Parts: sequence; structure tokens; C-alpha cells
Amino acid sequence: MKRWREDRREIDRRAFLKTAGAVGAVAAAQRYPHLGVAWGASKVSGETPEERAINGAKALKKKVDLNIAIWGQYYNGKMRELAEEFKEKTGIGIGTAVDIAIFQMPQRVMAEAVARGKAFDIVHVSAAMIPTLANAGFLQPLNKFMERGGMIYRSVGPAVQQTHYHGENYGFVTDGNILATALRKDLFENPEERKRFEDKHGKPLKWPETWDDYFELAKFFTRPPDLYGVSDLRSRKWSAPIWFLMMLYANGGFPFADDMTPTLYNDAGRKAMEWYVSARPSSAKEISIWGTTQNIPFVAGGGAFMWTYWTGAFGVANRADSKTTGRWMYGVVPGSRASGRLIKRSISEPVVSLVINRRGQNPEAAYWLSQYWSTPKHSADIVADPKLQFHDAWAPEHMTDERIVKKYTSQGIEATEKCLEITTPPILLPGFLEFHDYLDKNLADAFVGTISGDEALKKTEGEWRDLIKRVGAKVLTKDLANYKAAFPKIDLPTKA
Amino acid sequence: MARRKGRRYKWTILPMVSVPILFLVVPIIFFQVYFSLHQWTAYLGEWWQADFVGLDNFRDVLGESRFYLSFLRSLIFAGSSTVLCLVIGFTLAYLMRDPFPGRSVFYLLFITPMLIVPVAIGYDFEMLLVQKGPLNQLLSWLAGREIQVAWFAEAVPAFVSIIFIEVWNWTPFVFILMLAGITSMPKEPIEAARVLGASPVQIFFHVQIPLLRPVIVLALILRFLEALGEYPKVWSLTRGGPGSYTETMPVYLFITSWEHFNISKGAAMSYVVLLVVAAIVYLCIRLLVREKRTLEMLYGR
Repeated sequence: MKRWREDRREIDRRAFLKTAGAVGAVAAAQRYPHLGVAWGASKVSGETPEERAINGAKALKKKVDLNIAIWGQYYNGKMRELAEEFKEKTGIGIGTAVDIAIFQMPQRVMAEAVARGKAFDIVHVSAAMIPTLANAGFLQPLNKFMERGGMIYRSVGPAVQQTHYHGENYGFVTDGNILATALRKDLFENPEERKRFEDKHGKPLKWPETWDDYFELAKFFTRPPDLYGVSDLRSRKWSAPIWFLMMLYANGGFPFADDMTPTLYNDAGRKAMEWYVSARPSSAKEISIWGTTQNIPFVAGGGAFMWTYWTGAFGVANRADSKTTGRWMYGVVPGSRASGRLIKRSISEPVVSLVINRRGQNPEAAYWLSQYWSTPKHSADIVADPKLQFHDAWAPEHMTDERIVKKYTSQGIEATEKCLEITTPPILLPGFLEFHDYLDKNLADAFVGTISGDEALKKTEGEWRDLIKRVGAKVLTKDLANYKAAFPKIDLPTKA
Repeated sequence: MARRKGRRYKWTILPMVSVPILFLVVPIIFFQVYFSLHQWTAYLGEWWQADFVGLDNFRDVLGESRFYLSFLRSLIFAGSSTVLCLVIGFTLAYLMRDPFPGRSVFYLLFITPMLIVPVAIGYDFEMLLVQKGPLNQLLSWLAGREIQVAWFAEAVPAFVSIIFIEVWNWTPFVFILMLAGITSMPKEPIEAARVLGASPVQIFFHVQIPLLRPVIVLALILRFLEALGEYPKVWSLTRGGPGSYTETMPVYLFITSWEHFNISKGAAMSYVVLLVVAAIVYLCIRLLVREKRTLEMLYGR
């Protein structure tokens, strides 16, 4: 397998077909020069990317009912309306939407990739799966389509880098899923609480700048069973490793050396683990098993003082039916001074994106619809839709859209924007789920006390070493550059 | 003549047997063997280009503590839930052996849990067993003080909870089997024992239980094998957590094959499990045959 991956000089079936295809295309271009007009570098006409998506789809002169795999929580409201609108205008739309929850989507799409299936034309999946899916030969590269469609695709900070792999874009983000911090304003600004804190700690109560401050605050506000200091996820299969990674990155750590040697068991890793586990006494007991479906109602119901969470959830905690509406203040995630200066790192995962099956019935038709959904204007419409709580803001245009500012509150959108500036990816390598699973399991075991934090780090390193050996260190070393490209270049948000 | 006809008849079922064998059993066995002897990770190339690695995958599996721990959890889970299902199912069936008014209503009630989709059971129990949920409220009311057990957040309660839910789900199956066994028991040995002056307890332990032993063994085998493969409830309830306290064999097998996409290791793992299960089934069949022979000796054919 490794040999297959590393020795690209061997002529395999795919290489042969590619060459044959290229020769065929040249021959066809000479024989039928008018085809070149449609497929050349010429851009599709239209003033806006939305118009160009429509014109591009119309030029296909086909009615296509596309099949999409997407979670019902996402495919609703404005997203569904836009698909219907696109179908009316172009004849291309959604035939079947298969409802698969976002955490089950990677397995389902990999099954399709392995079977070389055509069941789905578009899949809505975490961008962290893109390196894996691209290696599995499932994904349609989008650069050429984007060039023709004059697509405008940008995020605040490096979030959209997660849909890129070796210079090629493979998807469009619809859900930025950035983490920011929120805490209870009514308690934070309460003069009695402030005095009590100052008396106890000999310093004024302030927004947590570091994770040390964060857990100090969490400890102070833990008053069980009515109030817990913090409510960040710590259970398996709910992306708990992202909280650890965010802390590791802030410490100046990175999971791998340049030769792909795992580098978790070091000062940065140990400090991150210490913080990760220290949430336990300040959290509800069930946090070790909760997913977001349990956590959001708990926090919205006033169960916790503080959380660092996906910004979309802040809107839920602020809804009219929430017990804590209007009692929240938002800000940038805490950071670390472990490297000698203050570094703040947020994380975006799952950056849920529309990707296209290259074996689907009509990848170009699927592309035009995806472009139509993902333009700055339409992505803002989707994020702004009050019915949709799962598409979180990510693009610059979202930060100034009045409807979105109203949905997030101005402080909430400011926190979102700042966190996006310093956002980081999860382990953006082929085998993402396996890397995460080992870390996830060992973090969970450390959190409940089955093993120590040090053991968890060492165990993860060992398991990662085996995985790296299997995938091939040379291949992964090349992919490290792609992983690192999704990191911010600044220590702190530029906005004051 | 009749014998010859019978032979000809046997040949007529050949296509019906051979087609599934040829198109289902053989390819599956071939692929499983192929994958377990090659290293194929689904996202790293085509399966037919995978490197031959001999028994490396088996060595990997057998040298891994996570595999043994998950298998041990599965054995404890399957063993304890099977015994509990048998005890409760048998008791209910014994109580229901004679007709009484409203028997069919009870029958319907008893078999209902078996008819519910396992994932739905998972979600229902998640709501019932949440720390501030109905079960703790009921226990608090009964105890007269506040009880706040975090059923799924601590090691022992989480494991006990999934066993309890399995028992709730599958006791009906044992109940049906045992009821069928009890109602079809021959009356003569019981009557004979009664005439000879045996007490009801003696009749139960020395006549009825031996008569029911083949059914009991069958129920134990079927239930144990079913419980060993239980996946949907555990996954929907705990996903192997807290920590890895409820990571059973099927959960780990799923993670290996469909999260790590390490199909080869998954295939090797499933062969190891298959061998252990086959050994258990073989022992059980021997036990069943012995039971049958004993019964034949006691009561004739």
C-alpha cells in the first residue's frame, strides 16, 4: 500500500487513463473546436457569482435531479429555498436529500468512496475529511469550476484553507463552527460576586485571558448542583479533542515534528492535558458522556457559568425560550503564555462543507448548485435564517450582515470574527478520524481517571506512530504543509 | 421407489442452496480472507493493490490490549445479560403457564420491548436515566432523599445500565421460548411424580427443569450470541464511554473498520471473534446433543 502511495512513477491504471484522457481531449479539441468554448478558460457570463452559477447551469441544457447527503438540521429553511429557486431557474436541483447526522457522515461517504458509488452527487461533510476523501478518489476538484464561475470564496482568517488540499479546493464551507467563549454577564458583573472573587484571589474579576484564568473562574463559580463553572464537551465522539488541540496550539505545541514523529508528550502537551482534565471538578458529572444535544439545554437553562463553544449555540442560549436570554457576554477564547508571549488559538471543527462526488451523475451540475448556495450573499442568507441554527458565520460578509448581527448580537459576532482570525484546524491529514479517535479515547480515559494524563499522551503517541507507519511517514510529511497552511499567522486577533 | 424420489427431490434444492453460497458466502469469505492477509486502508488506494502482509494483522489484533479489553467487556455484558434474561424470562413464563383472565394482555405487554427498534430504546433510556431524569426522581421519592446517580457518566453504573437495558429489551425473547417449552412439556412425568408423592418444589426441580433443559440451553445459546454482537444500543447510549468503560467488541470493530477505515485489521479482528464464537457454539451444540440424549434415555423418543 505504502509502495503504491509513494512510488508515483509506476504506471498504474489511473495514470494510464489520465494520459489516454488527455490525448483524447487534445484530439477532440482539434476535431470539434467549438467544444473548447464551453470548457476553455472563458468565464461564465454574469454580474454576480449567483448569476454566473445560474448561467453556468443553464449552459448545461440539462434537467438534473441531484442527490445530496446532508443532515436534516442543515438542509432546511433558506438552504432548501435556494435549491428550489435554482431548480426553477435552471432545471437543476435536489431530487433526493438523504438525512444523515453529521457525525455519521464520514462513515457513509467513505462507504460510497470505497464502493465507487454514485448514490450521492453532493455530500455535506466535515472539511477535515477532505484529505482522506481526496486520497480515496472520491472528490471532484473545484478550482477550474471556480475560475469559470468567478466564485468568491473567502473566510475571516484561515478557515477556508480546510477545504483545500495540495493547492486544490474541494469544497465550500456552509458552517464555520468556530469556538468562542461566553460567560454569564449577570454573575460576572454582579458587585457581590466581584468582591467575593477579589477577596479570595486578591485580584479583580476579569475576562479570562489564559486557560489558567479560565479554570480559576470556573472553580470560583462552581456551586453544585445549581451552577457549574464550565460546560465544555469532554465525551467521546463529540469532537472533544478539539478543546485539547486548541490548548496545545496556544502553548506553541503541534502534534507532529517535521518528520511526522508525534510530539504530544512535551511541556505544551502536558500543560494542555492538565487544563483539559482540570475541567472535571467544575463541570456537571455527566459532561463525560454528554453531546451537544444535552449540553446546550443545560447551559441555556442556567446550569453553567461559562463555556467555550460553537458560536451557533450562543444563539440558542439567547433565544426567547431560554432561561438565560440576554444574560450572556461573549469574547475571544483564552490563550496561553507558555511560549513566553500570549498566544490565543481557537479551532474550527467540523467546518461542514459541500463536497462533490466526482463519480456522481453530473459533477458540473452539482458544482453550480454548490456555488449558488455558497456565494457571499447566499451563504449570508443561510447563516442569517433564524430557522437554521447549525450554519455558523465564517465569511467577512457575515460579520456585517445586519440579520446575522441581530442573530448573534453585536458582541457575539465580534467574538466570532476575532476567533476566526486566530482559528486552527483539527488534525488535517489523511486518516483524520483515526488520529482523532486515538486521541479522543485516551483523553476520555484520562478525564474519567482510568489513566493519567501522561499515560494518555504517551499512549496516543504510540498509537499514532503505528498509524503513521501504516499510512507512510513520507506521504504524511508532504501533507504536513497542507495542515500547517490552515493555521493563522498572528498570535492574537488584530481587532482591538 | 419412494427413496429414489426423495433423492431426486434433494437435487432440486441444489440451485437454491448453491446460488447464495456462490454469490454470497464464497465472495464474503474470499474478501474477508483476502483483507485479513493484506494491508488495505480504504483511503490509501484500491483493495486489489494492497500489500500482502501474511499474519501481521492477526499479530496486531492479538497484541493489542484494547482488543482484549473490549472482548472481555463483551463477554461480561453478554454473559450477565443472558443469565438475567433467562431468570426473568423463565419466571414470567412459569407464572403465565396456565390460562387466566387477561393473559393475552400480559403476553402482549411482556413481548413489547422486543418489538422496539434498538436505537429508539437507546434514546428512550437516555432520557429516562439522565441525572435529573425520571428514574432518579422515582428513586428519590421511594428513598425519601435526593438520589442523583449519573447512570452513564460513571464506570460501574454505565456498564450496569447497558446490561439492564439489554435485559429489558431481550427478556421477551427468552419468555416466548420458555413459555413454548413449558406449555409443550409432557404431562405424564409430572402426573407420575405427583402420584408418587413428590412436592411441587420437587416436581419443579427434578422433573420440570430437566425436561426444560434443552429449551433452556437453546435460549442461553441464542441470547448469548445475540448479546455478544450488540451494537446499536451501546453506540447510541454511550459510544463506548465514559472513557472506554463500555467499549464492547462490536463497538471497537465498528471503530476499526469504519472510523479508522482499517478494513484489514477489522477483517482479522472479526476472524478472531468468529473463532472464539465458533468454539462457544460448538460447546453449546455438544451440550444440546447431550441434553437430548439424556432426555431420550429418561423418557424414550
